[in-house]
Amino acid sequence: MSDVIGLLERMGQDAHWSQVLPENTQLALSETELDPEVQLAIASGNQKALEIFLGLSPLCGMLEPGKEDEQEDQDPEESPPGDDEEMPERSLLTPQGSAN
Amino acid sequence: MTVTQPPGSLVCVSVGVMLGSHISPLVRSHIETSEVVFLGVADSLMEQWLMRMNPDTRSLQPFYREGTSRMQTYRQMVHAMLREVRAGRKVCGAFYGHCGVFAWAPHKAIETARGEGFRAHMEPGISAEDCLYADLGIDPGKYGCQHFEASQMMFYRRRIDPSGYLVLWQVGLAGDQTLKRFSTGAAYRQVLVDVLARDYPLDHEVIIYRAATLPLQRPRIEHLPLSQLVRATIEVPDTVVIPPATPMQADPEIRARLAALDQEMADSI
Repeated sequence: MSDVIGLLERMGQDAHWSQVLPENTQLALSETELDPEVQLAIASGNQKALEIFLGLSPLCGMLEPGKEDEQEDQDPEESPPGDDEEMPERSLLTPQGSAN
Repeated sequence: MTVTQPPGSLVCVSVGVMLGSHISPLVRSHIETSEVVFLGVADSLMEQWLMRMNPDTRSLQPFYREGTSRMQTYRQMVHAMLREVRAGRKVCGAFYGHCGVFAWAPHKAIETARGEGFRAHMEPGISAEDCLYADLGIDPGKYGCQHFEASQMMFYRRRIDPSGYLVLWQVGLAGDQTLKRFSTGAAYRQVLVDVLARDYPLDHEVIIYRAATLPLQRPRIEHLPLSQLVRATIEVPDTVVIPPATPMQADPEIRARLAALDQEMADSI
């Protein structure tokens, strides 16, 4: 499997890609060694398709504070898991982005 | 007398919105040179990308659980980072967008670490707000710009100025008082529209916006009347921008006072 993440990184750092017209993106991507389906997903910015191709789970990214009164009424040390508690393995949430 | 600092440290860094494009050289250096890196990002492609930068990266994703208060989740994130700082390690928390914007855990982690005598600071980055100004061609300095988290604006009587821009964040969750849900529906959004209708006509054009996160992705920019927000598809990453609805009102009294000061200055020369 070709390096999709590496390609996305290089594309994100190369002004050439931001100037390729939408109708020409697939032609430009055809020079890569990626599967045609992946080329199509990249060309259309289809994040879900890329995640499926790479076997990745969608993430939740919310970091916003909640209600003001709930923010400060509890010491952060009181409620988290104990020092010997391991981090859970995976979130079961549906994908969400956020504002920041 | 020399005050010695404990060996642990924390830096919370901002990796920007778009994979590959927005990360600064300094932020990348922090990620690459820290002993342990915690990742709080919104999509798995970006997470995979960041995981390549350091052999000890740990996703904060597993702390999200349906039915658990988000504040509880955020406290667990802070605790996880602080535990490593207290163990004397050089810790980095890497968060998408700007890690200090609409993000509780990075601020709290830095505050707590500093309170315990550790070195801790934040590195800024490109936020969704920055992308919004570029993609929509808005200069917040032209008419002014208010930003509110949508639910907070509903819970409290805020003073909206319809002569400037209004940007509402997290509209997909508008009206959620439980902090345990990850979306609310049309009935909740109707309440939001009713709140906005105090200051805007229902046919006033608003914009649903979502920044692009991948290089060839296009931002979501959808214009619609305020009344149609109720039925629109709006998810947590979407932002609602409300352009000015009224002209700015001149303040003749203040202008007269300023003119008098100008005259006073001129007379004294």
